[in-house]
Amino acid sequence: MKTQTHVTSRKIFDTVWSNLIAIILVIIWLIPIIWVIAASFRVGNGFMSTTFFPSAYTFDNYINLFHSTAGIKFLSWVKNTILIAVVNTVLTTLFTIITAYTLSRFRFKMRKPLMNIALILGMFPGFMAMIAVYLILNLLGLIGNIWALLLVYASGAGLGFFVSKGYFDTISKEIDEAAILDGANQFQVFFKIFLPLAKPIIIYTALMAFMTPWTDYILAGLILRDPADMTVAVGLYNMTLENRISSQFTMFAAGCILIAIPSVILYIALQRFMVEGISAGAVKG
Amino acid sequence: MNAPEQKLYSPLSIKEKCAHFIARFVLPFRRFKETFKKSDLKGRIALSSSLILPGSGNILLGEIETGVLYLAVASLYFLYLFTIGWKHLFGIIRLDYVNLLSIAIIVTIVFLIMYYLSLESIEKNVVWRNSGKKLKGSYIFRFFSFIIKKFESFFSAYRKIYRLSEKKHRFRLIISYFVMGVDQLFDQQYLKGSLFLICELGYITYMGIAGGAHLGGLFTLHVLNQVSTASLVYGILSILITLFFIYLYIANLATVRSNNEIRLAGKLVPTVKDEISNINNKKFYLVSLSLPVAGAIAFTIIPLLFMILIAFTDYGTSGTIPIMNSRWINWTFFNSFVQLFGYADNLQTLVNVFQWTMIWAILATFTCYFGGFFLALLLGKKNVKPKILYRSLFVVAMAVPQFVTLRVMNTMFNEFGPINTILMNWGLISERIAFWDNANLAKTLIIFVNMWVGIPFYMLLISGLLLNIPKDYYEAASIEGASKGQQFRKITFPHIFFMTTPLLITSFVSNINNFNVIWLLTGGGPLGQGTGGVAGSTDILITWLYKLTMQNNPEYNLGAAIGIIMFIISAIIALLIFRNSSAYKREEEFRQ
Repeated sequence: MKTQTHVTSRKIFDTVWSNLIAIILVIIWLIPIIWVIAASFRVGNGFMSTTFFPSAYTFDNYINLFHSTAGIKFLSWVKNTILIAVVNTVLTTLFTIITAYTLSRFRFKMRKPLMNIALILGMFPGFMAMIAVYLILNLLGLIGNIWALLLVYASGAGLGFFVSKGYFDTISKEIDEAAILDGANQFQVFFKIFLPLAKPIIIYTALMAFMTPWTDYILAGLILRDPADMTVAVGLYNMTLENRISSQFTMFAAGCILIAIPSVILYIALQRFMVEGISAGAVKG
Repeated sequence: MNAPEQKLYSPLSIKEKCAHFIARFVLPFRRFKETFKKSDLKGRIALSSSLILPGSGNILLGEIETGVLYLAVASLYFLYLFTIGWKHLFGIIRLDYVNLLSIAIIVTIVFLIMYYLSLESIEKNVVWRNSGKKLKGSYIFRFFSFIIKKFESFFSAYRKIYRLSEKKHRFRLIISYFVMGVDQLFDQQYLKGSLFLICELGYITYMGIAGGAHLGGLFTLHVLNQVSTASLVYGILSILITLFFIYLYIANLATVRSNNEIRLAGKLVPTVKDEISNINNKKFYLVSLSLPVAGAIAFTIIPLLFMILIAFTDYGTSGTIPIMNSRWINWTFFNSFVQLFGYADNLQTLVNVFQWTMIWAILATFTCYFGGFFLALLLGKKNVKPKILYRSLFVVAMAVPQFVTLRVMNTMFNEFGPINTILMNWGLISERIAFWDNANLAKTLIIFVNMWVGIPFYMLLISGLLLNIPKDYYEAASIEGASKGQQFRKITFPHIFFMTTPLLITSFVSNINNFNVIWLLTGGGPLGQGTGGVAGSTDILITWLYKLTMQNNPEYNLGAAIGIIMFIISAIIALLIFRNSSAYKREEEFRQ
């Protein structure tokens, strides 16, 4: 009897303790986010404030984003970004999945060399090529064009096959072999049999492709120079540059909240697929 | 009984573990002595010369590349040691910014490891030789003899077909050497034949109109009405096109050969219809990979080749930016590397930046990994509820774009930002702290902020993997009376660690290349503490590279040289570990 109460008290202690730590950690992770939300409603421009929470609240920062003159064209940024994100999702997912599928299912002479080359290319720092990409796009007369950005994104997609290939390797090969015996061709096998089985990793790939233009401020910033052509990431990043942050920080915060809402919803809704996608990539590399 | 349970109860004390380790370390030396006794004269010479000059034995036994590599490293080390190294070791030369003693010690340790490896390899080779087997020999030699053998066998088969063929087919076989696709067209393989023919005509026209000039431009970089950088891009393009054409030429001859073999065997040569169905089935990869590969060539391979070549030019040195028809860039070969390593200021910067890059990559990888592990275990506990809510809140941190969170963090720790304000309001500090202006504070903060950014990812990953561990293991363990701690040490940790080794390597490499965190938090600053050049004290190689190529007076060649060094570092780390990882070796076994 005595040991049992001992055990239960230890259990309660453990529960309280674990939950306490979890809550503290959650708070640590939420403080910056709460602060941005608060800042986005604060009266004033800069980031300096005498208190953590603002003393006066306003919607002006959100309204100003859409009616500002100083090179801030939030509405067209969002439009550009959505366009790029949607097209990029389609192209990148298609290229990544099809490359991964081919490398996972077919055995041909160039397979291992191709995979090794992709591995080696991945070890070069990405920036190294960026200046050359800029020069090539310049030669093609594509600087300042959002399609140029899409071209670069989509053409890099084939190299990101590792995660999906790892996942595909775990899908049994017998099913498609059986279908081939029944007279299906490769296109039918791919679309009718394989894609439904590979749904989690496809959703993960698509999510990552969709998020790329929302987070990429470097390549996009290099290619898109005109304020009207920019993506949200480039526009918002430029607002945090040293000479602008003190006059535009609250607007920046408002913009961040606006773009964070859809992405947070997407991430939470697709959490399950993310876990599957990430673990497939980690285990098989 | 399966393996993990046996492993569960094979306790080794630390003393025994040490003994094992020492034995493993000493074993090669003991073996070395025994091998020496058993060997013939040549083996003995190889062994003993390797003791003095690592690699010389390998060269003696025909493994030229390995031997030269060891010998080069050893002679570089001795060169260093006898010129300036001994002064570093004994503290005769000191510099304010660089800790030369630690560099000398690190270099020596690297040399000793290499020495040990070279002894191990020569010993293995001699044993191999003593057992009467042939050594592998030189890689380059083997490669060339392989190619020559392939060619010989191909052409002897081709000649044999020629002898056996009728006269009209003989003509086709000869003309196939010059005009691609003709033989296929005669065989009514219209698709293949016309494609080959078009490719050849296209290549000849291209080379006539532009390609020749492009190739020449690559060597001179002085082309009228063309910026030197454009010449470089066009030159690379022309080389790639030529390589592709050579490949097509060989492929053409190969199909001619196989078609004629089929005909001689009395069978029907595949028709257009067969070819198409073949593409639909066995050769599906030709269709599916063509676009991705083309894309990778255009926007990854050509740019990379371009930047690699840039490292061997003077593009950017003292403001050399090419202008059409008035200023060109030149080939300067290894000059930018000499510049990078040779001048004291740059060398100091390189060493400092490199040190911090490595410290950063190691700390960032392990803090996030173990932090995520801890969080996953915590949230995986039965009594921590509601799980979905907790996990989702961490996912929120992951979902906000990195440039947002990192810029916000930068602002929060600003001298006039909220953290300072709160600490002031609470009376914890009397003066505002400029977190980002102090190198050590900035570095510490970078690590912590990176934990904030990275831990949710690892948490998600590891909680996914935790579900994969079979429950039986834990049941069996608790029946046998293993405590929670033991279960963690013997089941959970090894399991997860084994599964995530490839990820640890990739994330280590990607942390070496982690631009976002450093750039968005500090921009590489603060300047001037222990660094020269444009690099700040929190700059890692990648941000330094960015600054060198994107600042107002870009030094593209130095940036490219750093890029190549980074590539070599990541490649060595990744290849060493990847190739030994089970995920790489046992690709087929992973299938279910």
